[in-house]
Amino acid sequence: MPLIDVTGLRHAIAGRPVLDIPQWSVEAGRHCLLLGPSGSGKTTLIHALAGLKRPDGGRILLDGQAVWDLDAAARDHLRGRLIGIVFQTLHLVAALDVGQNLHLARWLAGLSRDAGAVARALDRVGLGNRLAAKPEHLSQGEKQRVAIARAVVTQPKLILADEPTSALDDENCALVLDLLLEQAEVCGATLLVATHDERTRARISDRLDLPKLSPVTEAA
Amino acid sequence: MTTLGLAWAYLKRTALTTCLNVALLALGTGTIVVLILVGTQVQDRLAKDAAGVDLVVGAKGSPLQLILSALYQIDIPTGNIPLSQAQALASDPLVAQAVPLALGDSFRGYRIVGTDPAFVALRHAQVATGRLWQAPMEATVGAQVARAAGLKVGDQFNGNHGLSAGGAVHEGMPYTVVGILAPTGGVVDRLVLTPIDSVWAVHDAHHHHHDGDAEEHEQVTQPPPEREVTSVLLRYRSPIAAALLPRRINTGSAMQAASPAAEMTRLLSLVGIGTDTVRGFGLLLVASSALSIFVALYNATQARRYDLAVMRALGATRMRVSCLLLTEALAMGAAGTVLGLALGHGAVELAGRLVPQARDMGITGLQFPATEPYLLVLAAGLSVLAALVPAVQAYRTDVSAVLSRG
Repeated sequence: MPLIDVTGLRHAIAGRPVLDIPQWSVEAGRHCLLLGPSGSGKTTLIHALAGLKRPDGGRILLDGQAVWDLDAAARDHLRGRLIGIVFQTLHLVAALDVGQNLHLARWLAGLSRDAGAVARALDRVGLGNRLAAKPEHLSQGEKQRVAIARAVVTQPKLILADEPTSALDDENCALVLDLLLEQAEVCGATLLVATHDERTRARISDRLDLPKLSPVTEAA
Repeated sequence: MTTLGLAWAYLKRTALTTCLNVALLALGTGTIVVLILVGTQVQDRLAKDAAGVDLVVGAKGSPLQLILSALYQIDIPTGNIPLSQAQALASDPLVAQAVPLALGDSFRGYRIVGTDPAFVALRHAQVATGRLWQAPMEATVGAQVARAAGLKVGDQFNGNHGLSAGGAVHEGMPYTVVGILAPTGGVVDRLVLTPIDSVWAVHDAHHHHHDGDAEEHEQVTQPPPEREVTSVLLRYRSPIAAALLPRRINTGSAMQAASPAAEMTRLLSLVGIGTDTVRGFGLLLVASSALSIFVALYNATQARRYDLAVMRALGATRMRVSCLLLTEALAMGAAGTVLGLALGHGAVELAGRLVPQARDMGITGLQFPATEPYLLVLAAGLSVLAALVPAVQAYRTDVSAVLSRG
């Protein structure tokens, strides 16, 4: 059974179609790169998969469950349990320290408190010593790594990364992509990277599938 | 991680705003607590001091002044009445008991009251040490007087002329303490009780001393003045007396009769206007704090839109993010109310210890009126109300739109 199974997915913004995917599926453990310019529907697809944006039509099965047939609370629970998301703006909760940001993710996913899991997630991204640091005291690169650790600390089956490298220099771009792939492998999760950053293609396209999704990949 | 823990982290993040909101609510709640505590205790005290006395008879003047001076010992008397008329009242068939009072002197600001031993039973007092007065210039003192002046049985003291401290000392006519009353929490605690004869004797000597020179010159022999008392406390023999006796005294004699119940109702309605104003002010403070909490949470919701959206993306339900804001409001409400309760009780207790008038009234902050839990309910209700709009906003947030805007 594929982890992601999309059928007849379509969505338009202000009358302009941004998603039109007759059929697309991703097996568990496979990784995908969704490459396309801004406005090509990548974020809409990510949000539709995550149950954050209801598409105009079509069906999304996530780990066998029809995301948009669930009620709102069940959809939230499914997202918390199955998906880890890395946002373009990273956005860590400033009121909480690094460790608490990871605990928050586990708590919202309905998982029990596990200081070991949090410490291990931070260790894996090289920030084991920044557990008590506040986000405002982190560099951009460190924030990116914390955001990745937050996405994987719940042991998700699917990691969605929306423009994870667009604000990074070449060196950090490479580091983040490597880290994302590495963490996805460690978790046994499927990684879906949506980006317009051409550096990504050069860096990791040989390790990711490049699905032909119209109009996303048409634009690419 | 818990909702409360997360709410606490956010409240800490905006510590100054949080503290200001809590302080505002605490001030409002504290004001109301002080009013409730003092109001309740003063009313209880007034009712307790009036218990058992149906009517007060004294010289014509303000009936409220008569009640305050004779019953509560907190105002100057309206004048004196002839002893013969007071005695006539005692033998009236409508009267079950008549206790005369003769005022005029004080000891360290505590009033010396010439009266019958029946007064002690009427005011539900008991002797703790020694005995009741029997002979002139013997005194049985209230618990507070004994404590404040360090008096014990066998001690002697001189009275001062007048009802407040600082009057001329009646030298050569000392009172001897023969007993100390147990504390009652009432007006008796603040009195020095002695036979009426003592009061007359002290004043006879006082007048003799001051009039001595004039008499030597004028060589005029005046008849001894008729004995007077200041007032009489009455108990009715039957309910019918309430309808007949006051009217008869007020219209058919040079005295006036005043009902403690009626005068206290009038007094409390007068005082009530002021109390209501302060209570209104307290409620205004509480309402202001609710408004302030609303503004703080509304702004917080705007500032934290991305935080809330990220939490939703991490799996938080709409209800959970709404609950977070409600929890923050409730935490501020609870903190403000608890602090206000502590402030109110603390202020009243402090006043009860430091302010002489409050101490005399037995005011304490260690009472917990049954109405206080309603304050918590009020604060909780207002807090939820204040958080309602921000919570609904958070509930309705279009997560995808917020995350897309970045």
